[in-house]
Amino acid sequence: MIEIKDITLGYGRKILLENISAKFGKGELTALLGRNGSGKSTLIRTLAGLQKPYTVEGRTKGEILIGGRDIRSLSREEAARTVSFVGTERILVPDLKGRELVAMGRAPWTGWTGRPGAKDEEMTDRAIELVGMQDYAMTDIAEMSDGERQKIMIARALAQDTPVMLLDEPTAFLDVPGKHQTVSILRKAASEEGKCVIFSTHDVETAVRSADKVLLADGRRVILLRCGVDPVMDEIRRVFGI
Amino acid sequence: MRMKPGILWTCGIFLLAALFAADIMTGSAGIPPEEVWKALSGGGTEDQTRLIVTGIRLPKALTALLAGAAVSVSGLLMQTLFRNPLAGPYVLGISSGASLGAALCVLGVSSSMAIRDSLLGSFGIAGAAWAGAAAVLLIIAAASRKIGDITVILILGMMFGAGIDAFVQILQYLSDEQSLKAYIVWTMGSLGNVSGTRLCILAAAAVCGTAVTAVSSKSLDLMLLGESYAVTSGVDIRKTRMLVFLATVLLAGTVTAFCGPLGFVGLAVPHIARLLARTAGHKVLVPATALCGGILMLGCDMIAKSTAIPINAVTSLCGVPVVVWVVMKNRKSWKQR
Repeated sequence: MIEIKDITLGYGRKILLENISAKFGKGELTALLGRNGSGKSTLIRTLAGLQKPYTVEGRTKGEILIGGRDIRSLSREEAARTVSFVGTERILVPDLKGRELVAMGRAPWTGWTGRPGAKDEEMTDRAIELVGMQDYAMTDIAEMSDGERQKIMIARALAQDTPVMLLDEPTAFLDVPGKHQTVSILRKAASEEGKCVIFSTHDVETAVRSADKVLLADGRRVILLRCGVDPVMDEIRRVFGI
Repeated sequence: MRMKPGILWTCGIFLLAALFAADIMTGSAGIPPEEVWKALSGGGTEDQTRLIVTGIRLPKALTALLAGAAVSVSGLLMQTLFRNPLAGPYVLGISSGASLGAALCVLGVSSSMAIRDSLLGSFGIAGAAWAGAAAVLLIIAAASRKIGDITVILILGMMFGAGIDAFVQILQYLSDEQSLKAYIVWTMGSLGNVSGTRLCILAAAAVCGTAVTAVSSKSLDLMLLGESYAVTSGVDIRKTRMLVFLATVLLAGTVTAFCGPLGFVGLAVPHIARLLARTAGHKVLVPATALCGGILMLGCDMIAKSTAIPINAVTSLCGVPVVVWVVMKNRKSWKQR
């Protein structure tokens, strides 16, 4: 589904990840692990098309392929129908109801007026149901807890109906049950909806227990490990020095 | 208990129409409704009454309606673009930028009243205000992309405003008596100096700016979530930002050029609209804000007429409590950011 070929990530003069390559398949849940500042968020944002890979003398080395197509060749609309994104920012818009926020996920599928059709309404309701937030559909998001708001943000990404879901630290700010519920939703999105889900996290235990693969940032390189097959914990201990 | 949207809209439109009629009827001399109707419909009435109604009060009421709607919608755009409930053309220094442009025109180029009121002079003042507003808006927007902290942006906006005001004071010091008097009157704000040509420019700017805003409703809704979400939802950020700039410059710049700086209307009215409409969606908020802005300005104009207080002072007195309420209401969410 997603293939990274020999790309370098960084900003300014700082290189975070150099000449990295990896493949992420359909129906797979992949956790990105690494130290603070190792380039996890930069990788997520680059895959989401929010920033470009590191350029040398104005040229980008390597490529990112999504569904076999170079990410740079996708139009804005095609990209929005292929990749959905959940960031770390707390969304505290006053007077915005949970359902209204989830319905915003349908934006790439509605016309310029944004008027939702019957399918859009159905997809919105289904996404809310998938994250179990039916009781919060008419609650202001500013009045929700961090965990509730995070579920609504994931529902928004599910309503976007994209084959790829990218999430930057979706378990940050959450308590233990919140983390567990969030990762369970992502697991379900990958297994039952067949999506390629990639999320960054610091929660090693939850990641290893739930994910199919772990992409470990080790200095400027990455190691792709299959959970239950490769010695994931040994590698994590080595990289984190614990 | 929440009122149904249909009832709310009906009440709002009725209130707007009632205030519009009352604004025409009231003034230094009251004119009964039947006389107003005769004057407007060309029926038999005194020439003096017809002159007061069609030549003075009707243009003034239309100016209040358009200026209130325009400056309020520009405030809504600023609050969405900067994702900041305290943003507005006045607070961010955009009105000051427009004031500087207008001041350069009023104090410098066209000191003669005849030139100022001509078609060219009217476009000159509007153009200068648009240029001033656009310059400040571009600087603030560039700074906001680098900084990101909403408090710093607000402080920067206020500092720009203060700096521009200081520059305008220097201009005042250097200008002649006649121009200075005209400028001082302008800074107090006035809805009565908008002539036929100016009213047409104001109407065109208000309609175009509001139409651009309404057309951009979907993108504006997505921008409430932040740039990352807007981009990954397919919004053309550069185009949307450009349209918002264009609309804000047209709306806030034109009103400031012709009516003077109308303090706190742009900041306060979108919050009143949100309070009544209970939504963050721009499809509802844009017309609701325009409606509330028109109602507020007509009300402020009636207060200004009956008390002989400058309109700018009345709008500020009405706007300040709303700003205090917004600050108190948002304390919790600002702490969480």
